[in-house]
Amino acid sequence: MDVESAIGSESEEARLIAACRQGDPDAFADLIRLHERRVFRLAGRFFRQPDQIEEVAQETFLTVWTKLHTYRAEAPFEHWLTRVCLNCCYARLRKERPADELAAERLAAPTSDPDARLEVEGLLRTLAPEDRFVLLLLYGEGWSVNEIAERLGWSRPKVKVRAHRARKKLRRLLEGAPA
Amino acid sequence: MRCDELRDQLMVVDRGELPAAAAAHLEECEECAEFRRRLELAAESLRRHRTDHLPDAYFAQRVSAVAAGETDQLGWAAVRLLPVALALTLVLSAWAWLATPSPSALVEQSPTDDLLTWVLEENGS
Repeated sequence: MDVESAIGSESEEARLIAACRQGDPDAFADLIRLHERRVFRLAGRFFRQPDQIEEVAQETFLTVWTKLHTYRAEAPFEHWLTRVCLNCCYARLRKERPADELAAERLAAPTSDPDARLEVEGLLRTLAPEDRFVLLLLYGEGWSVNEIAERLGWSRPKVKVRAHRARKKLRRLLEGAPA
Repeated sequence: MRCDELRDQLMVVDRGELPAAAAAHLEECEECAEFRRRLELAAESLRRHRTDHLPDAYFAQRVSAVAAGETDQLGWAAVRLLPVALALTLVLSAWAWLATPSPSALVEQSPTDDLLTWVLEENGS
């Protein structure tokens, strides 16, 4: 099948999903090709090393494979996939050891503004995984509290509390106080 | 407007338009203007905080193979477990059948007479 022509075709995507539900691995490979860049891009928001990103992406798609029967086509598949991916990222962030993260930050820090970079890298290291996760979605993806709650399936108060805590730390950092 | 209030607003509305009072405060207060500059730098850095790593040409194939392998493994595990499940079901059924007393045995074992005697004795005393 020509995968390029399938991009953007909802009916083709629906056909692939139906075939995946029947256990067709070729259809699953095509479904992955449709969405792999989006998943890598999202995972790259939270992880700095290529192998971490690839592992999270693989975990995301394997979860899709095993849980596809729970997907109801009421919302676009992309939304469901985003939620699966975010949950995989979140679960992994919570499991990460700080030392791993530190090593990763040193290896692949962004090369834009050095002052801001150091502040942000420092801030991210001090945040709890939950708060770091929300901060990156707020500023990185530009999502609102409501959007984050909806896409993650979290309650709005939970997201608000996390956002408030993360912003408070950011503010203290910018004011020069210890975060 | 106090510095504290302004910074509260800046933290929430980092890219939106500020009220006139906030803008006026920023004109006069160098510390808050510096705070805003640093906040914008940090926000921009967070926006750029991403590793651009793309999948290679075989990623989909690899994951699909792993998924198919897992399904096969699950299928074989189910097939291997089937005799065990059947044997277990038979043993449990036999035990349930043997452990259930027959109606006649239940009548023979009935404690009704003893119970009646005990009640009468208790009332009598």
